[in-house]
Amino acid sequence: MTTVITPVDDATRRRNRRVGLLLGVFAVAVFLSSVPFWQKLVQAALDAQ
Amino acid sequence: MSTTASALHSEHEHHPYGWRRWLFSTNHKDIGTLYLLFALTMFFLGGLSAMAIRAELLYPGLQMLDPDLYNNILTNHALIMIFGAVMPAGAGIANWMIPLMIGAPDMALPRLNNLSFWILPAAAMMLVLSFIVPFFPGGGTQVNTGWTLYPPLSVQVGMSMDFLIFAIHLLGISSVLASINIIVTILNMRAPGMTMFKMPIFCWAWFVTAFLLILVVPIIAGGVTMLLFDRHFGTSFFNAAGGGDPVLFQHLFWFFGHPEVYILILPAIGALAQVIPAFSRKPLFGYKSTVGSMLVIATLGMVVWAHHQYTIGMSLGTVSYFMIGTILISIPVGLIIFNFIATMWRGAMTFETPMLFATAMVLLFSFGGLTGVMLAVIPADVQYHDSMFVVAHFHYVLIPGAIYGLFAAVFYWLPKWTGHMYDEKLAKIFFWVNMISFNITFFPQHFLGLAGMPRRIIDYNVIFAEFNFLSSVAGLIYGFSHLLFLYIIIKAIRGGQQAKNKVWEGATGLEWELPSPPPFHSWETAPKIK
Repeated sequence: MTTVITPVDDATRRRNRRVGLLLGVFAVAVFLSSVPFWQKLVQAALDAQ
Repeated sequence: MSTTASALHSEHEHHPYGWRRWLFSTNHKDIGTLYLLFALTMFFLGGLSAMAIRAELLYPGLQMLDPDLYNNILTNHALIMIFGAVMPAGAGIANWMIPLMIGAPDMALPRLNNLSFWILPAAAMMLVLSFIVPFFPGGGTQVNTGWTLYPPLSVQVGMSMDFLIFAIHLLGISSVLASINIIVTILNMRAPGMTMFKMPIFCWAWFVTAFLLILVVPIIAGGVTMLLFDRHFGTSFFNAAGGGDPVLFQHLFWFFGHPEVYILILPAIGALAQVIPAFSRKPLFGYKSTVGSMLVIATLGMVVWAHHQYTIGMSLGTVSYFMIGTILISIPVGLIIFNFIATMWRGAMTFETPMLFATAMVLLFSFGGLTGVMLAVIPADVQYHDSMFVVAHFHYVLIPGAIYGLFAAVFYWLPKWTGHMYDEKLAKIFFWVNMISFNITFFPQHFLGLAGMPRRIIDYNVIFAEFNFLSSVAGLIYGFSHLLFLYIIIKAIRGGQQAKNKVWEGATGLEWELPSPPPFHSWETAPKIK
């Protein structure tokens, strides 16, 4: 293994991952909110009923 | 420190060598260096395209390009400079400096950091392919839309647009991942005692910028995804004939595009907030108001996007709102400029190269802001719209506002990064040649625009010949001046006077406590902040 990670304590590492994941989910939510495609997809499904 | 971390410690005394050090790097300094080298390469590529544009405009009539190729070069120039040069350069400096400035051993998510960077070369390849694909048989038409990629034209052009769309997707993913890392690092990795309001302004600037990126980059990603669907999957998001609306794309684009300006400028403002106090030998005037102003700029910057679209036919109420909002931004921007001038006021100022670039940024960016206020005014904008005045305006905003800030930061921290002092005499020559030629290039373009010369058109009326000639000659000098910058950087990397820990007499901050260059792993034991 060639990667060398500077040590941080386990609690900080866990906290980093949690906050990172939260921000990642937020970014994906922003992306989805910008795509009316989903809205049209739901509309098409409703029309089909 | 945990047992796991202690057990790992012996492993940290050494670092990998050769290509593995760079390809698998999780070290913030190495990744910062990679970002900066990538940005420099793209900067020269973007510069080359700019010089092709100015060479073509040297005389009226067609010189060496055809209209489609001209617009292809123009499109690529903007995208390469914005996404390939300025944003990665900012990210590189952030990678290098944020952990050093807040007393953190590394970025919070080092493997993610590696991924954020290594997405970039793939994206750059896509971007470059979008330029060259049309030259091959079956490659389709050239990308001639400009960086705004407005439909319906962007739906009609050939497969090069698909390369561009994927390039934007990849660049967006890279930016968002880097932003997540920066936010988590600042929130979780500060040394004990380093409260948010003790943090250097540069870190604040990146904290605000990173949030802006997460909020707006996914929007453009959504916009170009819909464009892709319209192009290939029969949807009609932007096709009026199918019930869609091309103006929707403009809204999505500028919802990203306007905050993007602040994404480019805020890190440079953050760098200036380090440089100006150091060379004025005074603490920054108005720390909290500078932070507050950056927050206000980011907030207002997100709700004024349609000032780029005054001519599309919005209602009077709507355009009035966008006009007032846009003009309001000049208040926090003015406050930051005031704070910088107040910091200089009665300071023991010296003008080493970082300070020269910082002063030039304060003056010239203010000028660019002034023409921005002119463009924010609806009746005036209707006259200036799509003219060379707009080109002059945004180059006055982005070259001093972003690139001069980056130059100031590079010269300020270069001795810390390389361990060697750069050649101050050559750097000052570079500054003066660059600054003077920049002004001669872009100042006349205001008059060309006011006289009616449209932008994005390869040819022009002979009445515009003199100013275009002047602009082109100066533009070529401006472009070539960056070779001197490259030489100064290479010279500093290869050797020179050994830099002290604290390179600049008036500099303050944790980064100056470390040796120059800092060890491979820095702040393994967190510093104590009073």
